[in-house]
Amino acid sequence: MHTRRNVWRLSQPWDDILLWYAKGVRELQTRPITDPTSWTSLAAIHGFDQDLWTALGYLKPNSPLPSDANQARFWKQCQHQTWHFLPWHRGYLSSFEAIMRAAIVKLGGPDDWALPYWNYSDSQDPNARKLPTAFGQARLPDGKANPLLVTRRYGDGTGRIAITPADVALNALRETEFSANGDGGTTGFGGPQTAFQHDGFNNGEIESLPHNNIHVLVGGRQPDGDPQDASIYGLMSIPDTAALDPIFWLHHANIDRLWEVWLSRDSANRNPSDEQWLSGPADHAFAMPNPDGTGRNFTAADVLDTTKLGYIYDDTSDPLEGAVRVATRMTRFGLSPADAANVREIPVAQRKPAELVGANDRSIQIGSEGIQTLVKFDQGVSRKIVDSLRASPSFAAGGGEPDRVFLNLENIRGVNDAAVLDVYVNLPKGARPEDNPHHLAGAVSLFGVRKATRPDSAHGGNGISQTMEITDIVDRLHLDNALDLDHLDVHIVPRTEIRPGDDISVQRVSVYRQGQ
Amino acid sequence: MALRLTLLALAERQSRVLILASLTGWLAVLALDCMLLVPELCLSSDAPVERLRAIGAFNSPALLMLAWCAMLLAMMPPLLREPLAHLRRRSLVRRRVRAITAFVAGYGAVWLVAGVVLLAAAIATAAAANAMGVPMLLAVGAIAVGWQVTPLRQICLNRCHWLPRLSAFGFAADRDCVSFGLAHGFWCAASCAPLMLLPIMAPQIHLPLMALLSASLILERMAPPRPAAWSLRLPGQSVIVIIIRSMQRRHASALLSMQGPIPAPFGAASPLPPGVQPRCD
Repeated sequence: MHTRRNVWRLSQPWDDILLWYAKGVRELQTRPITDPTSWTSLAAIHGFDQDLWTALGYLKPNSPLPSDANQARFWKQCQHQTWHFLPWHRGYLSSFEAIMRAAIVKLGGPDDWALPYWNYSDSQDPNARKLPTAFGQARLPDGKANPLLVTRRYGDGTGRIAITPADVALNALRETEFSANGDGGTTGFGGPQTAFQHDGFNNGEIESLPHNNIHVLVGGRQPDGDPQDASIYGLMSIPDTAALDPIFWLHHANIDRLWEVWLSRDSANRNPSDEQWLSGPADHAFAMPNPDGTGRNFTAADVLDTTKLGYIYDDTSDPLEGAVRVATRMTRFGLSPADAANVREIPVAQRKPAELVGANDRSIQIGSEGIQTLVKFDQGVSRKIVDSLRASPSFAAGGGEPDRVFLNLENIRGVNDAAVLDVYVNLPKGARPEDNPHHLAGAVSLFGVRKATRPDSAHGGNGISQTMEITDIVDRLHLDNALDLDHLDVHIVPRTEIRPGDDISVQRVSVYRQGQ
Repeated sequence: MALRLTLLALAERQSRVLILASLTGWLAVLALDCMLLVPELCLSSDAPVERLRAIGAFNSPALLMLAWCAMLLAMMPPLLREPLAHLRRRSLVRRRVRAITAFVAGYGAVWLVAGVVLLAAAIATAAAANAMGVPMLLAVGAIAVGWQVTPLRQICLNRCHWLPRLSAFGFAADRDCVSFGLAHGFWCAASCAPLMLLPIMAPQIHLPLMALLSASLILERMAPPRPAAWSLRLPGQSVIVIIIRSMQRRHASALLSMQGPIPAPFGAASPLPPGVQPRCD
């Protein structure tokens, strides 16, 4: 059994695990792309764009590629905005780790090597949100160039990687359902249910935060250049190049670990038992290479138990220390902890679909200054929210929780995958957003937006949609007698640089309620 | 199990209400088919223009219009799952029926116009085929195949997946739903109409052709958008992938073995058939 360890708990910069990882990366980078165990072919499993890779120098013009059949089987498989996100990436990492370990052993390294993970959400470690040191070193201890250093890691444009606590918030762990239908309410911990992947435009909660934000805050883009030109973006910013950056694998190991954390923190948290998840998707087999270059197919059912895949994590303790979302919420309404613990969450299967409460009146363009927009409410529906909140004290008698409320940015389009937008609700007039974190609905990353905007992409040009839970904010407004039944004020504030050519638009900003 | 999974996935792509609406349409088509007068001339005449004109002469415009509407009701509901789900999801509960009605009005209006255009195109095609001495079925078959393989058709199919902004309130909400219906109807008609010349021009076998075309359009609409290119675009090719996968799984379950710490290698998959692209996102 191999143990995946926290990279920031290893000696810095060159613990043996990282040193062998660097040597292994260099070994895989020497292999041609026609070899399924090469660095480039493994990255192409996540995404591949021949023109972009050639422009970036990862592919020589006219260099031979794998056969069409092998490309069709292995490449461009990554699963996003779907409940297949977690199991597919687990199988991907498992295959990568086995190939990397075989390469390391071949180089004389340890046969118990395991992929480390980057726990950027570790509030006990002041370094946690910094890029692990080894990834910024120019050279290995032996003086050779460090393959873990990637120049196309632009961060905020200057190369500085600035990750805030909001970017690594673990609210996703508080969700008790793995999957939901993404109809304006919760999208579930693991992502919306999709019969076929291309149905989905909404990120699951763990995919949204911290996954997407880490991608683009590490990758970023060059401070100059045409936004339409994909080659100015950092490798991690674009799905088709993300896995070329060695930090990608440590990032996804952490996302995979958080899946284990979610399962172990509450016995009520369970993986789907739906056959379509366990054995799906129906229209495309997940396929990965083995260390010997052969291939294998897998399904979610094959990767549920990490010990059967040969690894465990050194730490799957609960960073939220057992806090239960509903109970925490109900104490806000004055219930005793014992009474709050009795309030039950309505399971997805018994819950009504989310209901539209209101929306803004026109599509909006996001410029460098950000934008304010008013979400007008249907008063008949917003009153249902208030009624449910007023009834909250009675819920201790075995009732369900009051309405949950969600803010949606629908059909976000544009070309700037590296953008991060902070979304605030009901900011006081003239207040500086950064001084009002309790009005922050969420930090939205546009990872994947460029491709999703193309009409011939699987998203059909509909872009991506983002759902943010604003229940806590609405609760507070209600308790302060400041909840307006007529509208909600939404500020979208870019955290990263936005240029005119980014063409970022949000077709509609809406609010949904999810109740009994 | 694999077959069950396949059926589950396919079933999830359809709504029972839409299937019921479609079945109602098919019953109406069958009923009206008995009422429509198709003179002997139409079945035997070598003059294709005369065939079409005779059908027009022997039946009232209202009956022909009803037959066209029945055909739309039979064929189109299964193609509308995605836009109707969008309308339902993005509308206030109290406006959902109104939103769907507005959409259907726009969508139906386009198809009514398309019906007239299609009839004119059928007559023109028949006349041209007659003038050139080409068998009519060969002519419409060539049009159908030609349209099927063009990149332009893929653009139309991609546009059928377009889900626009829908305003929540008042006139703007109605306007958005109607214009969504008009736009969706346009791309839908552009994708389908040239193929529909086939059943129109073959009165003897138009019902089986309609059923075949309907099935292929449903399967085709389930496929995701893809880059426009010359392609055979075999109807239902996404389902072909599923069936191949089902066969692979059945084979794999018989050969299941463990190799090292990585579970269940399933053996090498067969290459996909030519023209069948796996979905990549």
